[in-house]
Amino acid sequence: MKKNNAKNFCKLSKVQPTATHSAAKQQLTKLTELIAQSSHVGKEIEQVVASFRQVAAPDNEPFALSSVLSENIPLIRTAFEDCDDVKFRFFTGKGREALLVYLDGMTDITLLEKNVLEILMGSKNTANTQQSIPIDPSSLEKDLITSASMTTMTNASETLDAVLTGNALLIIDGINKGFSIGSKSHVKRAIEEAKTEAVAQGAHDGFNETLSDNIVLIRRRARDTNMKIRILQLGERSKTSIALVYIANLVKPGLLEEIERRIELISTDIIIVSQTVQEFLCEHPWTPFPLLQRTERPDVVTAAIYEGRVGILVDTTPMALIAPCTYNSTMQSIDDYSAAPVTASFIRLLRHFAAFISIFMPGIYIAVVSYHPGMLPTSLAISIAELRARTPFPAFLEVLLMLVVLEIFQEAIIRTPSKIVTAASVVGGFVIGTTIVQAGISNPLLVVVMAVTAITSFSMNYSLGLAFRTLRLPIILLSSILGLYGVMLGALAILIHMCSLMSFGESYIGGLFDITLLEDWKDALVRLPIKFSKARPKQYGSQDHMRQGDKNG
Amino acid sequence: MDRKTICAKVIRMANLEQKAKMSPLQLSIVLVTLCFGVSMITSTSEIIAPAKQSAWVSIIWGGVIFCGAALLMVKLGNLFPNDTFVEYMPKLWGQFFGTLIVWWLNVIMVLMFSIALANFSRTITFFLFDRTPTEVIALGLMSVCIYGALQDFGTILRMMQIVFFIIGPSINTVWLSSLINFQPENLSPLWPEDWGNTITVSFQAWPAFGGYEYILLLLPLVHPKKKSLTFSISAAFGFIIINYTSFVLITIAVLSPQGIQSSPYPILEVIRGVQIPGTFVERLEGYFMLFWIPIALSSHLIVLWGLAQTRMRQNQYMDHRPLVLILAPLLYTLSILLDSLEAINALNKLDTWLALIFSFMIIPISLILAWRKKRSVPQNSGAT
Repeated sequence: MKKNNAKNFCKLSKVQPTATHSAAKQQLTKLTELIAQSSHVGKEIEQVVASFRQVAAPDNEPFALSSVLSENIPLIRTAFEDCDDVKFRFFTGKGREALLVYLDGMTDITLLEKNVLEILMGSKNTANTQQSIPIDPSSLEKDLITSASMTTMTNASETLDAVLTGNALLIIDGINKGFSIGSKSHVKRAIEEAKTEAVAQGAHDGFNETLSDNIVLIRRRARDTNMKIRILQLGERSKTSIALVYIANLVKPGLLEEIERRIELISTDIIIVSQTVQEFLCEHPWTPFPLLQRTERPDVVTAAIYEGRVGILVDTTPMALIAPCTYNSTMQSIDDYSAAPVTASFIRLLRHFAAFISIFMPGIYIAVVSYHPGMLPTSLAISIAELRARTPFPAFLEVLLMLVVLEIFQEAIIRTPSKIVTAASVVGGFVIGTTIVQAGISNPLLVVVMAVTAITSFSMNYSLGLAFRTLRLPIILLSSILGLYGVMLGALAILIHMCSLMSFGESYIGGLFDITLLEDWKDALVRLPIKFSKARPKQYGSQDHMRQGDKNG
Repeated sequence: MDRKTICAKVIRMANLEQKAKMSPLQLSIVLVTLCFGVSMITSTSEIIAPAKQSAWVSIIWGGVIFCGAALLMVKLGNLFPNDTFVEYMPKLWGQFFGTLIVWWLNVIMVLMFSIALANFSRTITFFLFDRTPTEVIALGLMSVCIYGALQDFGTILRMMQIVFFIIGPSINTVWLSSLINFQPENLSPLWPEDWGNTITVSFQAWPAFGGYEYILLLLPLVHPKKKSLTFSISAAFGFIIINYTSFVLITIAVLSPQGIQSSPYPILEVIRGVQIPGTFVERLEGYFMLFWIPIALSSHLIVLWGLAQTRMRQNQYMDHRPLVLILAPLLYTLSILLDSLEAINALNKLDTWLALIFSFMIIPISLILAWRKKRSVPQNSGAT
């Protein structure tokens, strides 16, 4: 074969020995023209073939991309009809008609100019402006476009999604594919301190509403190739990105699969907040307790995934979810690890005590005042009776009134613009608190009780604090009917309920006083020095149990 | 990864399925909570009244005797590792007598539950709500008890451990404060003069230890570790004996045997007497009663759950929850029918006799039958 080729393509002087130099030049020119013509013919044939290959759009696609740009334009325009923020930039590059579609405000135009327009249209420095665009999309990707992120897409829905996520869509005449050029750039909140989980000594960066930023915050904390991030899309209309973050060789076997299975079962059109995902994922949607841990802190997520748990980050919300979740894990703070173990243990115990107070204090007040004043020392009982003598309401109504005022006050403070929060606090705390006593509506002791109750509920995870706030009302009702006996029955009902809750197969109450999980007690109600906590929490069932003293750990 | 490693990982994995089982130590916690229950307040006077100063010996003897009975039950249960007594009693005794024995234990537990609930509501009414009907108090406990019994065993187990570790130390702290009024001269003569009476009272102390019969129901839920199981049950009884002995000794020392006879609730009288003037430490009986409520509830809860489980297994149902809802009104009705102390005492005596026959006649005979059956069956065909 090689010999034949050598025969066919031998020297011109050998084929035509009598020809002159000018004749040979003419022949060469003809040959060049022929090659150019055949190239054009070839391109046209390819376009014809592509149009022949064009099939009707599949059922789940809005349309099918055509190789003829003029056919694609009305289809894309129709898809983005009345979307004035979608911009269309027509241009001719390398001898072909092309279209760039992008969302105004979500795309970095400078990047597009540099990586697409300058390259294809040719800048002052570029000489080969007339060279036609290679028809093969892969060569376009390899040789021309200089964007770091570029994806070739065949489905129309993919191309539209690309535009809506902030990427630019490049469509070139003669190619029945679209190119997503990575150029996302939108307004976002900077990395700030977590609003609901401020700490004294720990790291001060918190999640924002951008998924990629949140992933970076976690990645920065561990240079571990076993840290895997799986991004899924959720919401038929919103197509919100959800990232599952886990450590491949630590995560409890079956946990990730179960989370993915439950996510696949979610059928909703839009995800606005991570609570929506949480309600779909958790086993008991009616419980007030958070069955997935919610956090704004990247260090909390990082610590959790190194215990064998899975972090779930939802785009457009700063609240990450962690599964599974236990009561203990929500009661812990990153500050517990910044303080000395003895101090941290004391603070933890105090937090649990605060949790108890935040639920039961108003109930205990009603019970003691209404049913069991005899349980108090005589002097205290007399002084309380004197205070109560000035108020017209029974203890239950008094507490109910104060509770409603307190809840309204807390809600108002959250929704009040930050500049007038101080003023609102003064009005709510001092003015109302003082005048309510002076007006004889409530007694000073109850004001103290309610103030302590309110403060204690802020000393823990916000979601858990909300759960405890919800439980106050039934306890108040029980105490007004059955006194301390009612309070105790309520406490036991809450305890049974908490013991019955499951978070991804794990008990919500976790290893709390479980003697089969004695190892976990080292970092539960109290925190032992870190050198004693050599193992990961047993209750989360991580693949590699040892944290220290093991090469794999 | 070899099979051994995989098994080790699976065992280490604390998942839902694993938590439906319990360790021998957890069984001992369940036993302690079950046995203490209501009787920790009511039984003491029943033992002190006939045995007087030698009641502490009766308690120790009683504990040892009932511990022996419990260990016999463990031996019997170990011969049928995957079955409860509901399954193997008919195999040993035949269908009719086997079912009769299962019903026998059911009756013991029904009476125990109703007596305990009646005693509980009377005590709470007496000390906390003198104008509230006992039925209302019983209904409150019953409601929470039903809610708890509707859950799976893992939930009950977790709850019992929390009660044991939080309430146990608290109630003991309150109780030990009564040492302030300890008068050792009331204890003499410390050594029993009438051994016959002391031993008879030991058997009458069953209400203080009653409930250990549920070992027969709970054994299949325990991880099979025979040695530690014997140790755990002995430890549980040791714990109960120590506590009851302290109850008896301190009560006698504080109130004297004569004082006890005039008091329906001597334990609470002892704590009521604790007062340190000028401090907050006074009227501790209210706190003691509050700490007692979770223990009483845990005890009721496990009995109700056990009754429903027994019926479920007898009727071969898949779910015990409907049976909880059926049994609860019956138990509640029976308890409110016990409206006098005489009725409670009479039924208590009947229950004690039924339990003694069960523990010291039926169980030993069942064990002998099981051994005989095991010997008669070829070794390769298994125990059952």
